[in-house]
Amino acid sequence: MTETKFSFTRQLAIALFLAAAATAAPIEIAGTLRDTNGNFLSGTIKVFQEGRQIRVTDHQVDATGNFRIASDAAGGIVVYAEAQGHPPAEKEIPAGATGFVPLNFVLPLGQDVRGRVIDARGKGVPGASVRVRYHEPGKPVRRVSFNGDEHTDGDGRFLFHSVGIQVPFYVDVYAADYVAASSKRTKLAAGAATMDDIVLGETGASVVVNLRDKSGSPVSGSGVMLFADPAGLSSEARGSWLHHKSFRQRAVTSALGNVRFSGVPPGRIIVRAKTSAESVEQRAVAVSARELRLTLRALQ
Amino acid sequence: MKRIFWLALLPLLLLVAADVLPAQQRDEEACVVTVEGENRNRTVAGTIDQECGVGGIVFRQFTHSAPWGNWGVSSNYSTQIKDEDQFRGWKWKDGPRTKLQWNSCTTGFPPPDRRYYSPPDYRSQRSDAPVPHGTRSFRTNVVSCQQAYTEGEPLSGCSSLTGTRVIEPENHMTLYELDKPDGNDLVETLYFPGTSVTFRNCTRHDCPEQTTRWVGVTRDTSAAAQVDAQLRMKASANLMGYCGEPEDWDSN
Repeated sequence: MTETKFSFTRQLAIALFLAAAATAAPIEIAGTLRDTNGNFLSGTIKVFQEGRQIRVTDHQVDATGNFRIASDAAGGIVVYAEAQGHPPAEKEIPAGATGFVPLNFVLPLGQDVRGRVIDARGKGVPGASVRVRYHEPGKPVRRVSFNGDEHTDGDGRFLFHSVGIQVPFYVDVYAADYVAASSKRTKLAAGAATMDDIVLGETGASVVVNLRDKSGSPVSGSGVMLFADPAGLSSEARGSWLHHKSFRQRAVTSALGNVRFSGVPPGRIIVRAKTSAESVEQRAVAVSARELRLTLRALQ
Repeated sequence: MKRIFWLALLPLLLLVAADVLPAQQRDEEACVVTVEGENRNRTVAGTIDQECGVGGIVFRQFTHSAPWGNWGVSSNYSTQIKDEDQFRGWKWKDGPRTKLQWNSCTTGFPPPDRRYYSPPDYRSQRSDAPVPHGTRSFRTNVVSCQQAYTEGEPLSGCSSLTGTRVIEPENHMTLYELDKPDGNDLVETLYFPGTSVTFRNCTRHDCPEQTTRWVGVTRDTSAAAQVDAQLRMKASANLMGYCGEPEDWDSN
C-alpha cells in the first residue's frame, strides 16, 4: 500500500514537473547598462515575471556594465534598469519568448526638480501625494514605478530626484478633498531646476453612504465602493497612478453603517455595497464641493 | 537548413518585438499591483558610530547634531533612500513634526544612559510601530480600450488576479544614517526570508490588500552593530486607466 502511494506521489510529482516544464519559456537576457555618453553604469536590473505568479528578482550589473540573467518568459517579462542619478528605463519581452535576448539600456542623465501644488486661488496644498509618470507620446504608461508617492510640504512644494532630462513625464497629484489631477506633459531641459505649478482646480464632492439591512438597521463592517465616471468619459486622468484614489474609492462601513468619500469627481457616480448575502448599488450625480447623502438598502 | 536560418534569426526577431511592443495605443486599462515593505520592532544596540565621525564628538554636535541621526532604507521594494521615517527611531529631536531618531554614536554615548537609550532598561534602543520603507507598482493585464471595443477583448481589469501569487524571493533592508550634505553613512544590511501573498476576491476594480506575517532577520552584514527588526509585505491592486462601461450605465 505504502509502495503504491509512493509510486502515485512520484508519478504526480513527475507529471507536475513535466507540466511545468511544458509551459516554461526559458530565456537568457544579456546586455549592458550605459549612460547617453556611452559610459558603463553601476546599477541594478530588476526582472518582473508575469503570470499566475508575479515574481521580481534583482540583479546587479557587473563592474563593466554587463548583465546576464536566466529567467522564464512564459507569462511575459518586464526588464527594468536603474542607476543612481539617472531616470530608470524598462523593456518588455513578450510572453512565450525563448532563447537569447540581447537588451542594451541607455539611461539619460537625471537631475533634481522642484515643483509646487496649488489650489485654484494659488495657495499651496500641503500633504498632497505626487508621483512622476514617464509617459512618452504615443506609448503606453511605463509598467513599473518605484518609490511610491512623495508628499508636498506645508507650502505645497515637492522635490523629485534624478528626473530624466529630455524625457517626457507627468506629475500625478492627489490630495484629500480634490479630484486627482496631473501636470501637463513636461520635458526638463538640462539645468532646469523647477517645473510649472500644478493647479488642483477641482474641489471634489463628499459622498456619505448609509448602508441598512431590510429591517432598516445599520450594516457595519461592509465594504462599499464608489465608482466615479462609470462611463469612462474623463480620459485625461486615465493614465495617472493616483487616478483610483478619486475615481475608485473603497471604504468599510462604521458601526452606524456609514462611509464617507471625499474628493469625488463631479458627475455620475455608482456606489456599490456587498453584504454577506448580496450586492446592492445606487446611482447618483455628485456636485463639486457639495455633500451628497445616499442610503443603500439591502433586500435581504 | 531553413529551420537553422529561422533559429538564427530568432534573437533578432525577439529584440525587435521587445522594442516595438510599447508602441501601441494610448487609451488602455491595466491592473496596478502595489507592493510595500513594512518594518517594526526595531532595536539598535552594539557598536554604532555613524554619527561620531571625523572632527570629534564635540565638533559633530555643533555641525551634525551628534549623536542623533535619522535612518533611511534601501530595499528590494525601493532603492530610494528618503529623509522620512523609513526605519523610525524613538527620539524626538526637534518636536513631533520631525522624524524620530536613533543615537547613532553608541561608542561616544555608551549605555546605560536615560538621555541616549530608550526605556525600560536604557541600555538599548527600541521603536515598535510599523512603518513603510519602500513601495513599488507594476502594471499588469494591460488591455487596449480600442481592442476591447472593436474586437471584444474582455476588460477583466484586476479580476483575473484572484489566485495570483506575488512573490518576493528575498527581502533585504540596507540601513543608512542620513547626513547632509556629506552623504549617507552605511550602518548595515539586514536580510529576511522571502515573502508571498495570494490575491483573493479581486474585482475588475481592485484586489483587497493582502499581508504576510512578520518575519525576522536571517543574517546581517555587521558583527559590531546589533540591529534587529521584523518585516512584512503588503500587496494590493487597483485599476488604472478605465475603458468605461457605458452600456452598464445607460441600461438603468
